[in-house]
Formats: sequence, C-alpha cells, structure tokens
Amino acid sequence: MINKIFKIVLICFCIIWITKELLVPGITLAILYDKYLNLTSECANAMDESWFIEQKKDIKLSQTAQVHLLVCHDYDKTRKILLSAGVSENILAYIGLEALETKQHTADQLVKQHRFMER
Amino acid sequence: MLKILAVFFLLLALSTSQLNALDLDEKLKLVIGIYNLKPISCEIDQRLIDDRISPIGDIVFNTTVLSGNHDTSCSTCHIDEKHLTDGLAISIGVGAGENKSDRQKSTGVIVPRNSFTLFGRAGPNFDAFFWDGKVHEIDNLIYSPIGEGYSLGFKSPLAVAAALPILARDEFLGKISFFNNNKSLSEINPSYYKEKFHAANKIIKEIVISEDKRYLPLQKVIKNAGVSVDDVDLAFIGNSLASFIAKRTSECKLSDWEKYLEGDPASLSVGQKKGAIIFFGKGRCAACHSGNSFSDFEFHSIGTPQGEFGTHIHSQDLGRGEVTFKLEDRFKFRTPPLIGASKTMPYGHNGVFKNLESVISFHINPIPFFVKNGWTSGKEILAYGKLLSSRSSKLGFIEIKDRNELLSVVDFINSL
Repeated sequence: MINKIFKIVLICFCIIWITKELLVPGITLAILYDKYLNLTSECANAMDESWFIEQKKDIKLSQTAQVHLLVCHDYDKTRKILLSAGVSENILAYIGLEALETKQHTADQLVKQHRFMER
Repeated sequence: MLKILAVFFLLLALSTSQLNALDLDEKLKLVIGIYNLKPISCEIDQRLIDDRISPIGDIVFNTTVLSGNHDTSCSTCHIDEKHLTDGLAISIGVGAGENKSDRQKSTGVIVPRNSFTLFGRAGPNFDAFFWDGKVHEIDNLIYSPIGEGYSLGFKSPLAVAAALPILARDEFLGKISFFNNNKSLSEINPSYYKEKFHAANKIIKEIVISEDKRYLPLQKVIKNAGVSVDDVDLAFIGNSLASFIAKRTSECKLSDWEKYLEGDPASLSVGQKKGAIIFFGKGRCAACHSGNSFSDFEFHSIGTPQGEFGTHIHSQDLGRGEVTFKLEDRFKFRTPPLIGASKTMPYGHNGVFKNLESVISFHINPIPFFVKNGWTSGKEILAYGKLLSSRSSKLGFIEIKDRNELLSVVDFINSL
C-alpha cells in the first residue's frame, strides 16, 4: 500500500514538474513567440525614434512619439507573461537579438538578395 | 580640289580641337589655383612608419593569427589585387574559411558595410576613419568606441582604426554557436567599449606566450623586433598595422590627374578635362569631394538605399547617427575620398551602386535608380521616405544637363 502511494505521489510530482518546467513555458513560448519578437522590435524602434524626435523640439511631433511608445507597454506585459510562465531570461535575450536583427546573417542570404535585385 | 578641301577641313578641325584643349587647360589652371590642388595620393605620414614593428603588422595583416577561429585576417577584405578592397558589395567575415574567392557562396557572416581601400589612409591629413567616422582625430584627441586613442597607447588614428576589426564579432572574433565558442569570442564580444580593449589585451598576452604552433610566426617577428612580450597589447598591434599599411600604401604610382597636376597636360583626355571642370564647378561634386583627397571628411547623406542588411535595428544603417546619436547625423556617411575610385567598385556604404555612373546619377536624382533596379529590400517601399528627408540640400544645386556631361565626370573620376 505504501509502495503504491509512493509511486502515485512520485508520478504526480513528475507530472507537475514536467508541466511547470517544460510544458507551460514551452506552450506559452510557442503561442507568444511571434508576438514577443514583433513587440521587441517595435518597442526598440519606438524608443529609437523617440530619441531622435525629442531632439527636434517639436511638441506635436513629441506627442506622436509618446503614443508610439505605448507599444512598449504591450512589450512589457508580454515579457512578464513569458517570465511568469517560466521562460528563461536567456531565451528571451536570444529572441531579443533575433528581433533587433543584430544576429549574424550568413552570406547565402546575401546571394538571395542579389538574385532578387538582378531580376 | 576635293582632296585640298578635305585637308583644309581636317586642319581646321585639328586646330579647333587644339584651341578647345588650350581653353580647357587654362580653365583647369584656374580651378587648380582656386582649390590649391596638389598630388598627394602617395604621400605618407612618415611618423607612422617604424621599420622595427612593420613585420609584426605584416603578419597580423596577412595571416589569421588574431582571428578567433583562424579564418579571417585584414587581407580577407583588403585584397592586394583589388586595390586593397574585396570587390564585394558588403563584406563576408568570419565563418567563410580562408578562401578569398567565392565568399558569397559560403556560410560566412555578413559584415553589412562595403570594404574601402586603404590607399590614402596613411596620408598626413587623413583623420576620419570608417564610413561613420567612428575613429576621428579632433584637436589632438582620437575619438573611438574604445576610448581616447592616444591615452590607450595608440600612436595615430590609423592605428586605432586598424585595431578595431580585431574586436569585432563578425570580422575577427567568430561565428556564435550554442556550444564551443572560441575564447576570443567569449571574452571580447560581451565586453563593452574600453572593456573590449582590456579583454583583447588579455587574449593577445596569451597568444604571444602560447605554445600553439599557429602563433609561432607572430612570436618570431616579435622576438626579431626585440620587443618585450609585456609590451605587446592591442595598441602595439594597432601601431604595427599602421606602420605596415603606411609602407604598403606608399608603394603607389601617381594617377593621371596627379600627373596633370605635376605639369603633364597630355595625361588627361579632353573628355576628362571637361569632366574636371564640371566636377569642380556646376556639378558641385567638389562641394563635398573637396581637397586633394577628394573628401571634406565631413558627413553627408545622399539617401543611399539601405538594402536587406544594416548595422542597426530593422536592418537600418544610421551611419554617423550611430556614433553621435544626433538627429542631424542620421543616415549620414563620411564623404568617401575618390583616390583610385575607378578601381574600388561597387560604391556606397553598402556597395549598392555597381558603377560610377550609377552612383553619380543617384546624387542627381534617385528616382531612375529605383525605376531601373526596383526596391533594394522588401520594406523599402514604406521606409525610403525616412532616408529621403536626410538627403543633403547641396545636391539640389547640381547642374548636369545631359548624359555626355555625366559621362565626362565619370571619365574624370577614372583619372584619379
């Protein structure tokens, strides 16, 4: 009887552990990957543009920049959902690189671009 | 009678062209006086040359000794046979192997800017390096991403510029992978600004005392130079590279234009002389491509199409804006010096212009470029307006009225 209870507890523990550590983060990431990638890129761009717009000293233009920055609220929210679902900081940092397009591009992509240009 | 008439007209034609040539020479004499032009392409700042350390620069320039994965060197993108450029639109850095041809078909990593020639870079007045001028000497201070150059031990801005690619992930350090990143990549790449300099120094110190046979050639030249291992750091490597580049680029011939400046009127064709007068006059080229290097070493935008690859977010290349973060510097690039320009195609910061006619036409009017070639990236149709607003107002004063005039400017640039 004790053996049976132990096995059930162990199985339950394993299921919970796998769900918490792998399934929930994995599924959440799969659902929100594209959205997070897009929002990271959009928020970084909004911050960048705001930096330059502020230098213009144009109140109305600055107001448009403030509205543009609202996209960063969506980015923060999505990031928090991913973190609370257990997605690691390292994975989010990698997606960040991907989103900012500062990752390493290989030469075969260059060939593709040139083929397109020479049509 | 017909023969006499033919000879008469032939003589008339010859004398007329002679008269035109004389007129052109007189005008050019005025131009040369106004701009105070002198031949300088082979002029070298002699303070850069140190025969003791040049062989060290030679090894670093021509071998993969300082590359994280031993697959790139300075000579990967500055090839002797290509006037010290690589002839590609944008360069291919680490991960392509040592092979210098067919790099576009490799799995190497894109360095999203065009590789410029090194000729003229060791001249006494050359003070702004790279497309965005990220190494710039102003009031005896060398501004650079790793700090003030002189205080770090560099002896010239060229030395700082020569050393910076050694710190660059895509040019020297290596291709990132989840496992087995080399030591240079792991230690230098995550560091910021001045920390990169110190991280590189640590790696270089390890290399010069390493027992790995691949480092023997470097260790040998350091020993031959009588330099203490303790004195070898990134600044020393930069100074050695500057010395080597200065020596290498001093082995050059005067261009046809410079022969003309030296007093040989036959070195330029009539078309080139006409082109020169347009270049320095109504073509307004000399408004930026000024001085003996044909650059004002200032930063301007012609609204160069950005293509698929850039150094900044959304594959943009903000140029000088990425160095100063100032609105007015967005999309600006240093006026490229035109010495040897005919040998350094393609043109533009990303090599988007295949020939001189294409790039000059774009200065005058960007629309025909897009009509002929289409957009250079999928997003350009919605993004090009940003670049248009950055185009220099000086371009609005260009007066080139037909293709012959344009081609004569091309002819003139071919003589530089």
